[in-house]
Amino acid sequence: MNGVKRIKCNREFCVSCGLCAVVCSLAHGDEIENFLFIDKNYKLRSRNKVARRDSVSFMNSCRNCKEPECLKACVAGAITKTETGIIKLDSKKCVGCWSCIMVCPNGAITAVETEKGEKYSIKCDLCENRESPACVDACPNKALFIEETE
Amino acid sequence: MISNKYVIIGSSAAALGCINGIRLFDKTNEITVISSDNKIIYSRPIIAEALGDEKYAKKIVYIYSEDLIKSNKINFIENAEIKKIDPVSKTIFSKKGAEFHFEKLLIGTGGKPIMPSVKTGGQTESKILTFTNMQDLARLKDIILYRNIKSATVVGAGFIGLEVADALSKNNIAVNIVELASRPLIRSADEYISEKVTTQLKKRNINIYTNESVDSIENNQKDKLDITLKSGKFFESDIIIFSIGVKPDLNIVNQSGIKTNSGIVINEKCETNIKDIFAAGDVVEILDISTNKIYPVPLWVWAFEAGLTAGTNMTGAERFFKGGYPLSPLKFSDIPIVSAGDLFNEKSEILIYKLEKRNIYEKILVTGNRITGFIMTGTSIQKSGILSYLLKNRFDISIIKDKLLLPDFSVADLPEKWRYENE
Repeated sequence: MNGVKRIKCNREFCVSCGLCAVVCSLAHGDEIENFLFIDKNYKLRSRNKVARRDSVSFMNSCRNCKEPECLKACVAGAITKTETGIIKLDSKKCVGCWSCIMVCPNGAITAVETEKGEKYSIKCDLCENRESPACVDACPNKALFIEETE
Repeated sequence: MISNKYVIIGSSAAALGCINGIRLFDKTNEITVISSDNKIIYSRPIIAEALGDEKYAKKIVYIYSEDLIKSNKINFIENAEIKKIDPVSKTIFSKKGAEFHFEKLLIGTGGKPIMPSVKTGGQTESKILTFTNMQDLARLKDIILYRNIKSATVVGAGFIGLEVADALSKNNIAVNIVELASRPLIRSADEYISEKVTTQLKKRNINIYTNESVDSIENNQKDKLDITLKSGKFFESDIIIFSIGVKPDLNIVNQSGIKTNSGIVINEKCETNIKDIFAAGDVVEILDISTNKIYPVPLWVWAFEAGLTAGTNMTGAERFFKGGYPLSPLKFSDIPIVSAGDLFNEKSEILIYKLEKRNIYEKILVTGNRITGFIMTGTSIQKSGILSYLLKNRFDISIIKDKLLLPDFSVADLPEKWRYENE
């Protein structure tokens, strides 16, 4: 079995600029109607966020947990774990009940509500359509990197 | 007689969890799943959506496709009802006379809808309904489609009842809700949220009678139901749906020697009092971490987790289930509302933050330095996962209590050693 891919953040280097969230939103823009990157609550619709308190900051996104709480809670079968340990959330299967959000110990799943009234969850997909994740590429201080664990 | 190492009775969340648990450690032995439903594993929690909105009907979610069933070496036996378990010979018997021998058994037969005793008169059979499974959904869909009904009564204003009422209303049916308590969502919301919900009901032209119950149901000469409430109030309705809740369906364990209380009694390994027989899901009672009391907490996530625990232990590996707590996502609402734990402990300290113009309401109940319950609405639901995690693991939150209601509360506020899978 291959190692689990995780995006890690070196806290020493993170300057909490938030660029990771902006590029995340842009990288996934094609699946969002009218290229709206900001949702109706005026929040950036990204799959990651900078978590910060006082002098500590780091990018918070899905850690692809070995024991994913979200998978246990999903009532729609939208969350699955691949052979390589990556947790996938199929937004098309998602019914927007927010059960995954209610149990994610890292608060790494984002609720989306569109103007059309659609509701679904999104989470980091490691930018499966890009060679490497947009946040990792964009981080101006090289705080983000990919780690493959066992 | 069919012999099998693993037999699972039931095919919902507990079964799914169990399959996952077994397959973590045993990839070779076949798993027999015996279901009273047909074909595929689907999701009961979202059948109300499928009623209200056609596009959800597809989502309903054949969550375990036939391919997955094959690739997991599952022998799926459909339309089979089990009538008896014999722990001594390790055999179960179906109503149609089939016998299955097992080495390890999971009972995941779920709950059945609670039906109060109500006086009835006339031809009411096809008009008094419950709504918990696919058959109920199919029946109700047929009624809506072919009987051209105009009105419906939903008994119970819990979150399922509200979803059903809303789904019917979306089908242009006039809905009356009858609720025994003084407000909707008496168990999963506080008065503030109940009021918001009542406003939303009004906006959707759904009528609610609180402090009421159904006294009698009679089919009248116009072939409609005359529904009389305890107070004497009276109205007509084409159908009535009871959505009061579910209780463990204990029929199949009767006289088997398997210990029951308010549900099947299990230990932390999800084993019953009889060796090699496990149970999980809506059929069992579990520890509610938020109240420290033991009773059924019929929720998908705990069914899955207990199933996962049982499955793991069935293979000989070891895993423990430490209990659950109530978790209610309110799909019915315009604004996201989630609640968890015990919202009504008088000993709890209550932390509240409100920002009306953004539909934000945060309420956190802290009891003995532990989070024991919360309600989050609007964008604040993003916090609920972390709060849930703190509740479940009984963390002493005194050092971060002043951070909980900050708008940017996040994992950065948790001491590093608390963080989940933070290696």
